[in-house]
Amino acid sequence: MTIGPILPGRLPSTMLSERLKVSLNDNARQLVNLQQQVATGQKFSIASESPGAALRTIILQSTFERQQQYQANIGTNLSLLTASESALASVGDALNQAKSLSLTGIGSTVTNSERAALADQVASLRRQVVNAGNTTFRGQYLFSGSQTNAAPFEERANGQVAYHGDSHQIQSYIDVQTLLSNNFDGISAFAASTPEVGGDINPALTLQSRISDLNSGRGMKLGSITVTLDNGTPQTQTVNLSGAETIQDLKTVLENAFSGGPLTLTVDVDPTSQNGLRITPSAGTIAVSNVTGSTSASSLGIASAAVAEINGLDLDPGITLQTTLASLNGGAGIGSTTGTGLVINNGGKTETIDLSSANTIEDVFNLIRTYDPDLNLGINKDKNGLAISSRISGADFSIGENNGGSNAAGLGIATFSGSTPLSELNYGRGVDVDSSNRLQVIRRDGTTINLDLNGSVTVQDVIDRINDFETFDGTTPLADLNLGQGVPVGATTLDITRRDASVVNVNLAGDATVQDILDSINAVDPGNLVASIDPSTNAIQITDNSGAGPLSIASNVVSDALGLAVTESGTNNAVPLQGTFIPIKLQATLNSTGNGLTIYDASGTGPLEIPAIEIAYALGISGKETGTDPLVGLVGKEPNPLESTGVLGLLSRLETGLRNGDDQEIQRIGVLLDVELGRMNRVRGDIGGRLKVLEEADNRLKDQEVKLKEAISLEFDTDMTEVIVEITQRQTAFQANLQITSSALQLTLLNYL
Amino acid sequence: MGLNATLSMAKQSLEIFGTGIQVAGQNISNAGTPGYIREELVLNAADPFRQGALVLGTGVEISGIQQQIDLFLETRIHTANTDFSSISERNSIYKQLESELRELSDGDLSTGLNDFLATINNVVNQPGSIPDREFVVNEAEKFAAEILSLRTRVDGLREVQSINVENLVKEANELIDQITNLNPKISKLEASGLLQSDAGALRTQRYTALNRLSELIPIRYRERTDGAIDVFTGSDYLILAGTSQKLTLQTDTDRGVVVHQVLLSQTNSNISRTGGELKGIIEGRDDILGGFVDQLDTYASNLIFEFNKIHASGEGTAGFEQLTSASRALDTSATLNSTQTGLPFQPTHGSFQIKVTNKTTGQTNTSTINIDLDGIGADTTLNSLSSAIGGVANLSSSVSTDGYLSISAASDYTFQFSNDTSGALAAVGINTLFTGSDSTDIGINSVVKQNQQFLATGQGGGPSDGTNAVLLAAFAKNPIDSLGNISLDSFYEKVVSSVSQASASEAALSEGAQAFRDSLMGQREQFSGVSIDEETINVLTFQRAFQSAARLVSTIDELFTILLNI
Repeated sequence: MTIGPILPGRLPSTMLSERLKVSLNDNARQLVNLQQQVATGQKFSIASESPGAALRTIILQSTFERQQQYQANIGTNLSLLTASESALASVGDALNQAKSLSLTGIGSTVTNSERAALADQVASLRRQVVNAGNTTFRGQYLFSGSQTNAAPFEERANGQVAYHGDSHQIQSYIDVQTLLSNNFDGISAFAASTPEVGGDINPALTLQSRISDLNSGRGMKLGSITVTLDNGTPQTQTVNLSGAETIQDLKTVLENAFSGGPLTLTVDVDPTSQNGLRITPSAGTIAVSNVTGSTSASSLGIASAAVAEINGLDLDPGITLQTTLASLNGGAGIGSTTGTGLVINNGGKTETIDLSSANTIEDVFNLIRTYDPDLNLGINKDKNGLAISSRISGADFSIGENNGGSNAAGLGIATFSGSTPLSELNYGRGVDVDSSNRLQVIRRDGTTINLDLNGSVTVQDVIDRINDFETFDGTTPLADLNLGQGVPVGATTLDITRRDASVVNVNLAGDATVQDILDSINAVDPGNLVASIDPSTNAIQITDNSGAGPLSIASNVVSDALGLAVTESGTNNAVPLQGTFIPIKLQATLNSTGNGLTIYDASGTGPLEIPAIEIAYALGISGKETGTDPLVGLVGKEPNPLESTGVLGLLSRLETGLRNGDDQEIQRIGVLLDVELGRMNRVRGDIGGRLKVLEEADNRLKDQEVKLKEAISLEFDTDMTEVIVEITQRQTAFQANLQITSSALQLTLLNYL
Repeated sequence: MGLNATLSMAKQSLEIFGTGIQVAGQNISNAGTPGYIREELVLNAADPFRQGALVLGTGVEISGIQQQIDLFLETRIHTANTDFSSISERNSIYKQLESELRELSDGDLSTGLNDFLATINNVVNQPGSIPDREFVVNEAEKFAAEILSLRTRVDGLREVQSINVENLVKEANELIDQITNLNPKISKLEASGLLQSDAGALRTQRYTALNRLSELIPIRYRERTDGAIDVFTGSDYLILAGTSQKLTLQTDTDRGVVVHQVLLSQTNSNISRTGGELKGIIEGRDDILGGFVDQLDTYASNLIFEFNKIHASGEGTAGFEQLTSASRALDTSATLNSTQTGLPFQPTHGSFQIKVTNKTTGQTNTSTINIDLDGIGADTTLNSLSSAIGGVANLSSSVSTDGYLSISAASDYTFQFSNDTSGALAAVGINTLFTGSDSTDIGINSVVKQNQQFLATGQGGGPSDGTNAVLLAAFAKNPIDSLGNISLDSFYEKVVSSVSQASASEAALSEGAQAFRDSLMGQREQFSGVSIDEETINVLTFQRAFQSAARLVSTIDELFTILLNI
């Protein structure tokens, strides 16, 4: 009860006592309130007593609780990273020791037994590093990525070390929305894998492609688009594509929007480009535009004014595990997989992988994994190719073709090809083509030739230099062509389908030189059907101005031998039908596994030899082919194996180099050890950086903790001084109230009667 | 006339002054009676008569004994009672709700959520740590139990309010009976003698009853000429000329709790929310507590679905060999996003992936299962989903007769899930952590509870792949469409702040209403209360007057003696 105003009039004693009771009650309650504040230390015990302050307190308390967890996270991360750092410190020491051992072991003054002793020391250093790599802390292996319950490094025969972890970064929250990795996996800490192979293999768009995988996996956010079909009466629909997940969904939604007719439309993947959409109305024209505020039509590459058919732009679908092999390389696939496949050379083992049962990238990975578990299989960062690397240190790694197939190239994972730069060969040492060194070839006829490879940049340049060594002109006898196999001119005719679609069968019987062939063709329709020699390489070109159709030559023994079984599908006569390369007596090709070069020579029946001088050695083709068959070539070695240049790989190579007394190798490793030492220091620097970030975050959190506590205290905690002063005041007021009212109540008439 | 007349006048005076002392005595003896209305003896000079040229007085007579009450004030007090009681009940229900929320202490839901997230953070730090994974499951269970317990406590509060309603109705009916009984007694008493003050006491009882009744429900009353009163609530009568109608209860169920509506027995009007304590309690039960229950349900169901959506797209450290859905469908041939399915949540158009792994070779095959819910053509139902899953090599799937989806792998194979863009897995309860649909049935999926390996912390890596755990740890900060694009955290803050704001404003209102009522009560007390001093003076006055009147008798007696001695 509150004490109301006293109105004029009588003042009954019952009212006085009632008011007294109320005021005593009030006083007592206020005192109890204050006492409760003192007892609990809180200004209020339920939120509504001070909603603003209470809500701020609730949020502050919640923030405080979370901050405490971040601090706990930081504590865990600090301990994990500190343990990683101390393990890596011992690796740095091992690298330094290995460097001095390599310096000791080089040169002719060191005996073999001394080298063997040095090699043993290197082996024990490697074991030390493996042990550091297998450090456990808080019940988990530190350097194994996400595979923390298995030892990541395993020593194998020949000093090889296999890594069983992955490259997973364990991320942890160190603040709201701030993640930091608390581990270094074996690949980032020990560089325990080879560089990744995998080029752009341009998958085609399919109906199963997901919207989120388009634009190289970046995806796109779709809204509505406006579609207008017009065949006299325009039909316009705004179609919401936001729920679409795949190209099939787009097709369904768009086709459904117009399913009521009269005009309908068809959506499919443009068969010409294989990478965009095609929208075709049942009749008339179609126009597609963005809805204001949205860019969906442009993103899908189908924004267009009224046209008879929309051919959308390249949507650049990224690669996923579900991408089919048939859709790769713009829909061209990876070539026949029957009888071919991949040849993978890893850890001293060579495995042939049959891909004939594979339909998707995932199938390929499964098949590879079955044969060789020591590979990292994934998709590259740009989402346009694969990323394959070996997890074995101390051995070579390469991927090539099996049986002359094209699967490795089709998957973009061949480690050696025509386009491989020479500078990458031999573990990156390159091929010294620009000096005065020449490639010396002792041919089967006993002559020695010196090929100048100056200016070559890629492997294909080298192949071209060798192939172009012999002159291809009108006087070249047909019998010399194709490694002396000649051209069976009498067997059949050269069947040319001209641009006007007429077919001429040119009889080449009796022709003896290249000029004879040209003359025979030029005689068919002089000045119109013209054959000539390609000035840049060993090939024949044919032009025809009879019409506007394609120009083609049917494949048979003659056209094949002349490299002319080709179709020029264009309609412009200025573009000639370009014959393929015709080898003469000396030919260089990629060998059948794709991993190296093969040199053929038909100049005689003696041995074919390439002395092991620097260039030949660097190209892997030094050696001797002692047979007499010109069709059996000198098969070169893999000049471009990939290797892990991490500490384990280097120690393993150094050991082998010391045991073999291979000064060149020891020197190479010595240089790489410096590089690796630098890298290891950077890794340790990185750990130091993270530790610093953590410490700063920890300090910041501690500062915030103090501020939070202060803020909570300000809002929520009892101010003792204030409360005690107030209690004293209230007590005084209470006493005064009691005294005054009791004496006032005693004033009654009855006392005076 | 002459002496005889004067003597008779003196005798009458003696009687009246005696009555005066009796009335003052009644007041004094009721000085401590709560609600007592003081009485006053109303006196008049008696009618004079003419004797010759003189008009002579005949002394004093009693007009009656009057209660000193301000009837207008009484009506105002009734209205103030009604208002105050209603607000005060609401206020006290808010306070009870707040104390159940236990916000500001360590037993609240936000602490529960933080504790749960903290255990996930520990798993994020060390995803492979088995004890930390166990803690997540335990803490999730504890958090679910906290939500359940809060719901039970609030339901309990609501049940208590229902009992309060029953009691209030009983009390109101007793008060109506009491007034109905008092009415004829008062009429009868007031129809006879003047000196009776019994009617005043009965009236006091009736005023007290009315006062109490006005706290329960809004009332108006009107006094008849015979002293009986008619009582109305709103436009309905409670007591009218000797007849009365009672309050009756109509039982119903609301949000899992038995609730009552209050009707009048004759006119059948619903007076549940017309005012007074009744309104306060019913509003408290249905709007304040019921509204909170709704918000708690929203919180719980979003927690379950949003967390499960992330969880369902992740992988534990082991694959499933056999799995049965945690939720059941009522109609397995209904489109998944229709309400007929009876699933607690509705998925959207999208897809998810199933990875089937051969345990021996480690080979994994991923299949995409499309959830077609674009409303064009045939859409996905539980049955078609089951056959799509069954179509994956080395998997079989079936729907039980009671609507549970069951998936099993061929021997030596396991399966896992990923990339669920549709929410279908979470809706059906496959690869989820939480089960249930709202705060009444939230729980933990027994699959994960029995084996922490199925806690989906990774996305395809090794045992320490915490990619999914990173997402799970941040889920409470993700904006949620169905909550108006605010996060679960903000939603809870909003709920708590709206409860405490409303509670605070209710407290202010209550204080205002109380101050108003109390000032009216003060006025009533000031006007109708007994003042001992005043009554003492009255007694003294009447005593002196009595002495004078007695003196008058002795004087007349002396005069008669003189006359008789002549």
